[in-house]
Amino acid sequence: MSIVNRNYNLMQKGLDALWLRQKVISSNIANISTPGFTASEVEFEDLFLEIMQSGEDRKTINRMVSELEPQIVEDQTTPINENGNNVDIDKQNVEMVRTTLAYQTVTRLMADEISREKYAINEGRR
Amino acid sequence: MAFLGTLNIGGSALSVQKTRLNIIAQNIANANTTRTETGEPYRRKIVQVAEDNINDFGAILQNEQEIYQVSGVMVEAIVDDQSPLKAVYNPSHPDADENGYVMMPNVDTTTEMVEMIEASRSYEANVTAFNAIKQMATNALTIGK
Repeated sequence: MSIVNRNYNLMQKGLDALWLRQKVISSNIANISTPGFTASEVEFEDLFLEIMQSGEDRKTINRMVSELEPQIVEDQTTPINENGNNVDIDKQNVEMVRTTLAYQTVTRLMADEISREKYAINEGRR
Repeated sequence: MAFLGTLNIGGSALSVQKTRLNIIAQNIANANTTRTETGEPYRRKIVQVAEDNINDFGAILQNEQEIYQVSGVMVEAIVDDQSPLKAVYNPSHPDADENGYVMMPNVDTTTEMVEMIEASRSYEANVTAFNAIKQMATNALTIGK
């Protein structure tokens, strides 16, 4: 058994995806008054879930997860207003708060994991 | 990881919204200006905003700008509103024409007020987004502490 938790890679991927999502949200809010601007969103969790539910063996799933990249897609569901812009500020705000909290959660998980490893390395002495 | 580049997106929007507010202030201030440097009455100014692709150093280094194209915003141009000027009958005005009409600027104070509220709300929204990113960057820096 390796001391270093293999979930680090996964957490790192999650953090990168969340960062990218925040970047896209920031760009959407910045372009709230740009005529003809189409909002974008980041797909990650759904793609991850798809892999997890694909029913492949463990090895294949690990490989698919390591190759998983977040995708930027244009938001085609929100109605377009009169100047061709479809940024919905409420939607963006909610997503922004959600992303910040999710990011905090994952950084916290990572920090806890590291402190557990430190604890083990010190043979239980703090 | 280019978190400083991400902050530029919010930063570009703050500067655009501030420019809008400046121009709105200029429009309101000149709502009664019948003679500008060109001799014409003042025409309302409009700020045209457009997407701006920010290529930060990190993105260029990793050559990932094609994969992750996330744009900021910029002022494309400040143009004159070509809608008709208002004619006001006031024969005693020095800028009145031979029929006694003065051409007044096409500034509508109500429109400007609405625009001003919109610009200042957008500014606030961008400050919030900026702070959210700052919060996330701070969190990332505490990993391993």
